[in-house]
Amino acid sequence: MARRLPRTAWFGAAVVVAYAVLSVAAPWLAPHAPDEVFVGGTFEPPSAEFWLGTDNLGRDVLSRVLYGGRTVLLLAGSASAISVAVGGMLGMFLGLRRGVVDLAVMRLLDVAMSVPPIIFALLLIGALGPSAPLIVLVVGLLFVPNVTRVMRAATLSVAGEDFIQAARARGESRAAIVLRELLPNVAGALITEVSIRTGFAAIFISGLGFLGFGPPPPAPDWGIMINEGRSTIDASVWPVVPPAVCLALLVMSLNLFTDGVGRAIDRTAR
Amino acid sequence: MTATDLVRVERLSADYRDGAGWRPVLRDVSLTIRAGEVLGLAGESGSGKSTLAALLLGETMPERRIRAGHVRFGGIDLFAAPRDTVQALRGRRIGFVPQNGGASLTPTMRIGGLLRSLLRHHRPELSSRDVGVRAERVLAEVGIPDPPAALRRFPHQFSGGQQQRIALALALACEPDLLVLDEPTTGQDALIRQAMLALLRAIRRERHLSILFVTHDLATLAQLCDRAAVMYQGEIVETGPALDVIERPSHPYTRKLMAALPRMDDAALADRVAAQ
Repeated sequence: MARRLPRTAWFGAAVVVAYAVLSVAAPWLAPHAPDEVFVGGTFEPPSAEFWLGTDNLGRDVLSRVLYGGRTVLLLAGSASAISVAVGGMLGMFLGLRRGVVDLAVMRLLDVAMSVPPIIFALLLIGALGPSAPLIVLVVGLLFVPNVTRVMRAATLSVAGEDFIQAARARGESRAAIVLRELLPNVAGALITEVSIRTGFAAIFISGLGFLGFGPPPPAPDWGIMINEGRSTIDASVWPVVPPAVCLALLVMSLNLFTDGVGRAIDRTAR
Repeated sequence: MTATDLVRVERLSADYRDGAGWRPVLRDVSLTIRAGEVLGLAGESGSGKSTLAALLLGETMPERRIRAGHVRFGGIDLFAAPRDTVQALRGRRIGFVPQNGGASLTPTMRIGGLLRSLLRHHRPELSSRDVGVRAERVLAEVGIPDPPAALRRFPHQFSGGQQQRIALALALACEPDLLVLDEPTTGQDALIRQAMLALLRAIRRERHLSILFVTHDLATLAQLCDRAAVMYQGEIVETGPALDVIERPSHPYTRKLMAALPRMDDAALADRVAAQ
């Protein structure tokens, strides 16, 4: 399948890998500490010392953007991992199990999906107080119903295949059927879900930061940076534009990768 | 149940889910398969023969229900026995070859992986070396050339006829007592069909196993089976020695099936040959 990936997907993957490398290397690459305040240096334009200028408190925007990448990738990646692990297993179980259990769980998930996710997240985080583990858990669980639906549908399309029936007829256990027969044949859907959910989680977590429900200040979070810079945008655009562009580019790259994987799977299936 | 009966189907009735209700697919079916016997099960599409074959594996699913009756394999009631007991029989003592052998092979697994995982699951006492030897031997038995190389290949790297033989090898790998073949020769050309029947005759001769051979082609029954049963609309309408059923069918449906077989001495064919 890798040879069939379109160039746009490779571009998307390269950008996401570059984000990951830059985020991991932030302590060595960032010219300043993310919360270091330069007194008298507020709203500085780009210069040799501050490549992307400074914000309303005189902090280096480049350093905060680099460290902010760590926050968003770590939180969004963890939330995506939770949603795909829980939703993936549940979806595959229901797709194979079918019957009354499948019907009951899917209707429960329909009810869960009818609650607007942002309201649910704001209620929970507002009540318990914002912290990185809670944000990861809430966002991860919010996406579980969507992932479950997709993975259940993918499982149903494979579960009726002759090779799954044949595995049952050979007396293979349900675990062996899931691991050996099912998982490799729904891997495309799983990869796509990881990618989509990471993008959604990045936007969602940044959105929570923008609304003041993200990681507590002075954490270098892109959503918080956009919100703080928004109120002073008439003084300088530099505190707003870099985190906004970084967030948009990350989500676009994830979408390009997802789209490419989806198209490659379609071609392989044909 | 006599001492030589390996399988006994007793007054079995089963339904398929049809919208909000249930549609009968098997009606009061009874038959036996003796040890070492080849039973042919014939009938048109939708007559219930594939469902009966699946139920010999004790398979249950939400879309199907057993209304009445039993299937006993070696004395074990497959619908009353614990799930683990029935699961242990499948693949180990009951081998199953579906109609589309190629589609029954997991596309993402090599043939070696398929055979080895099956043998390790049902025969945990075998060493890795023995598993490898058995895998090669069973591929050779079904006529796959160069078994060591074949074990490293994926299913799509074989022809349709070879895939069917590999499906047969998987069914035979654990040395079952019963082989259930669900239309294994359907859709194959005449030469491959004949080769498959010859292979099945040889396997039967060497292994002395029981076979349920499901087909809609009465002509193939005569070449392989000791006894034949004919199904029509979920019921067994005729059963007896295979040659008797074919040469002297007693039920009107069986006579209709026999009449539908193409013959070289058909008047229409003779006319056409004469015209050319």
